[in-house]
Amino acid sequence: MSNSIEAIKKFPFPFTSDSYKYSVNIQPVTNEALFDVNEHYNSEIELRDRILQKGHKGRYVALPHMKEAQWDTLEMIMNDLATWYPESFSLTQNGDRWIWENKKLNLKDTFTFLDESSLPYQPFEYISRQVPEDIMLLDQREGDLFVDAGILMFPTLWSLGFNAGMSFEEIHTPVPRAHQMGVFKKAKAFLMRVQIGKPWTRRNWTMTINRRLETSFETYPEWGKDRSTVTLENCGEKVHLRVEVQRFARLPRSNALMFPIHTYLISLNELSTNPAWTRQLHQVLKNLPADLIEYKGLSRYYDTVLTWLSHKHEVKALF
Amino acid sequence: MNEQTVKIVDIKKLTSRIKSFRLVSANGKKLAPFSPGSHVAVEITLEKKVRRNSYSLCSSPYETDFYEIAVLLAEKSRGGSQYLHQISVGTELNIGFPKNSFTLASLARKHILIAGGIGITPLLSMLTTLSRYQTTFELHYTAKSQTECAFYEFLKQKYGSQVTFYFSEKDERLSSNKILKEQPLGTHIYLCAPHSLSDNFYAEARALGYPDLAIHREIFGAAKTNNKKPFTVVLSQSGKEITVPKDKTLLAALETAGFPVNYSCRVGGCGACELGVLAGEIHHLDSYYSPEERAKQNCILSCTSRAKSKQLIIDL
Ligand code: HEM
Ligand code: FES
Repeated sequence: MSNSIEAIKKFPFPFTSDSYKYSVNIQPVTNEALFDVNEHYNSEIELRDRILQKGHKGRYVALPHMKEAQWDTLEMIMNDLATWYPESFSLTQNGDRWIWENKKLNLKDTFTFLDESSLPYQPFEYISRQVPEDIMLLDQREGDLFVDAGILMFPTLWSLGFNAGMSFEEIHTPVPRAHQMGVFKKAKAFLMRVQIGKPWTRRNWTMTINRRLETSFETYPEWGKDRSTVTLENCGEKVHLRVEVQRFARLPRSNALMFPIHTYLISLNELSTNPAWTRQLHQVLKNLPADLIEYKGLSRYYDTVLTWLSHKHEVKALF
Repeated sequence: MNEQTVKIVDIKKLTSRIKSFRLVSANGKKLAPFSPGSHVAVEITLEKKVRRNSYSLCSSPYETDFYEIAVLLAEKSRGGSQYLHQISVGTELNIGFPKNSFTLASLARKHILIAGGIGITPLLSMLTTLSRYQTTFELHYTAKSQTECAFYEFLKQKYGSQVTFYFSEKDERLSSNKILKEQPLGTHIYLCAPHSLSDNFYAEARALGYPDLAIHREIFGAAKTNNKKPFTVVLSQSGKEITVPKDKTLLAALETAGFPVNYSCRVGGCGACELGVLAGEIHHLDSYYSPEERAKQNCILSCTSRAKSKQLIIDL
């Protein structure tokens, strides 16, 4: 499904300058929902459901000591949705008896807070099936952060099966350049100090061929070959800028860190309705170092995209 | 810092010098939940000066209709505890969101909690969680006497043989060696006691081979630099001189003077507001630079850091 004009306007364009380099690009979240319920909500929830039906392996993990963090997550998401989208979600709390209504999914459940047997799934699975975000929960202990729970349907070529239980720096091992720049040490020190009630956000980006959210390690054989199908003619339609809006929030009772990731896709055709974005994306790609082009998996269609963007850019400049 | 506004609904005298306070939300908003071991900053205004004292939350983390704190009337009180000891039910207070620098280790097999006097306070919320999850623990609690031992009855009733009391008046002493030796692998120790006792346990634990990461000591929030001094910066490219008053950041002063600097987090964590420094001594207050980077004294995060010298010359 493509984006409406409204969605294109709101697209979280990730660049702030003409050259992109890794940095600890984090900003406070103020007066904004942590979770984004938009026009793709129902289709994305359905897609996530279909993926999960094939099995939890590599998709959902929650180590036993993450029980508190699971309930924290449920509480935080329910409050966030009910606060920011009251027409679609509501939470009624009578002591420990909670009534949760999700009108978008036609669902109304009564359960007892902190009593797992009163829910159809584990609390983390129950609530994360109702948001389009992938979510990692990081346990903070012994001076480090560990990905000890997570739900992951829309990864960019990584795997929860492989990464569960890893520390923050271990998980970032494959990323080029940033380690030498000290980015991850700094990011970790920062994340460990994230406080209750003061969430943060950052954007990450890459490119995806076709409007495909599920680009996991496990299904690479299905979609990897699409990268060789890009031509100047189909470029605008096929090539998508993929942006992850990530959040970092302290979970209050467990002291764990919640890391939701919302993935947005925009085709180059859609993106080029905004000349400033077209120009800046062109510049950023032109200036992108070779190791990042390779790491982000752009190599096979990089030249084609540059040519396509430069045409767009010039044509626009003529008028 | 009006992160939460609370009203005192109950005050109890626990010992001759410790009072407990029950706090409920004063504005209908829910109180923020917290993790065991957390504290809140309480804003106290005395003689027009605002100070923030940190107090551990002693109530249950599963109870968010109210918080409870316990305050020891300090001998050399800076005024904060004295003030709290004389206020009455109904008083409103501004407090911060809970923070935690004394967390339970999620994977520990056993927890040994050592409390000296008022040091019992952060351990109370830990006990609630430990007993809820039926994790093995021992609490060793020393006080002057039974009457000076806050929460004595409560602890005895609720946790029975898992708690041992030591009253110095009766010459009962904690032996760190006896308590710490022959504990199972994966035991974690939590110390909240006067320095001498805490240091003694720490040294004994290290000597017995406990890893550093298994020994937790309560330290209240990082030292705040209350005494911020004004300084001036000279912009090397234009020679312009700008004063940074004590209540303004370098970043804000530059913005006001018409030199907007790049920024992102504004709390010294992301590095976006970095500026080169050509001369002068920097007072680094950020959480971004490594010790080596700090020592170089050649760049500053303008959103938080200041000058030790009267003047800095910056590359702008
Ligand atoms: C808090 C939890 C976080 C988790 C669980 C996480 C996880 C990941 C994972 C799994 C990858 C893919 C690595 C691979 O190629 O196998 C990645 C990439 C990356 N992460 Fe994180 N991350 C987190 C936070 C951050 C933060 C705060 C930063 C800030 C600097 C950051 C910066 C990056 C960068 C620069 C990449 C490379 C992405 C690219 O160029 O496409 N991450 N992260
Ligand atoms: S703005 Fe982030 S460190 Fe200054």
